[in-house]
Amino acid sequence: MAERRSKHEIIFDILNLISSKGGKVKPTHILYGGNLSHDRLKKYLKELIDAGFIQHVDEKGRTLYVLTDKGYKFIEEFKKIEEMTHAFGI
Amino acid sequence: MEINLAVLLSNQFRPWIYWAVAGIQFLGVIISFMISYLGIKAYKLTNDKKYKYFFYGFFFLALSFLANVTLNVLIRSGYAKYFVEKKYELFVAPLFMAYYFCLIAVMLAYVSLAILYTDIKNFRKLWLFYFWTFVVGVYTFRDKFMFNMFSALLLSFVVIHSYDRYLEEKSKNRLLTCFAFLCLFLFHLFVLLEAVIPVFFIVRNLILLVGLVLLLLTLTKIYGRKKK
Repeated sequence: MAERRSKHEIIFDILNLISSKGGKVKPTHILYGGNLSHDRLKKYLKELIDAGFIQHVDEKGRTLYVLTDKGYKFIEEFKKIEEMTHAFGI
Repeated sequence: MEINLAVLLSNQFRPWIYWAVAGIQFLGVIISFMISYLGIKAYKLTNDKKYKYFFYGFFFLALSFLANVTLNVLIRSGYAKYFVEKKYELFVAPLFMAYYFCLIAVMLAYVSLAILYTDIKNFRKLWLFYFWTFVVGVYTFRDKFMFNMFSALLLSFVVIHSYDRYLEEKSKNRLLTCFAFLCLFLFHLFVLLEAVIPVFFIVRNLILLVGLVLLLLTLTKIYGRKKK
């Protein structure tokens, strides 16, 4: 059975997903790619906006989520930490 | 006050060897601080306690290396001997303090790493572990062998667990860190041989250097990771 993801791993997965789509995605993409329920996704997106990792924009009547510089920085830092965690086996 | 400072003051080998050892210890300061910085950053980002112990481990190790370098430089540059001979208590006391601090910091570093790798989560057991390590650290300052054996004992947990983690997922980085901890373990263990064959003082420090270089290699892999 797959291990349960921690809160920070979920945040990283969402941000990484947005980054892999060019830094701008529709909420449905995050819903499917993030493997989360609608309610949990809403909660996480609010948290990410409050933390300044993503921005909510309206483009031609569509709702999009855009990754901010702070979000990109978080991804880089998190990858470094993952690498360290893996290297030290902690 | 008679402690092992007398050993530190001895000149069994040529002076450049002691300066080289101080250099190795200085490398230890830099590497340990860099790793502890990663640890505290990880803790701030994730709030996961395992990173806190990881930070403590390398931070205390860095402080102990720093105290060791300071002592080594003071002793080898002749200042310490001058103060001891002239009985300038005011200057000698900080030397002893640095020496005790170094011993206790090493113990706290290894116990933090042992807690991290053995995955102790019970609060009482955890503090019991710290308490007894502190007590042993305080009472072994007169006995170089006891101190090094206790350090080796704590590190043996770290080595075994890091080897188990390597077996779980065979990666080059995990092997590097496992060997680095093994080198630290041997560095303390070989103090037994140093008593019989003095040249093991050099061998031990060379092993420490190898361990530090392995940690540095791991660090360069972490910091040198290319941005995608």
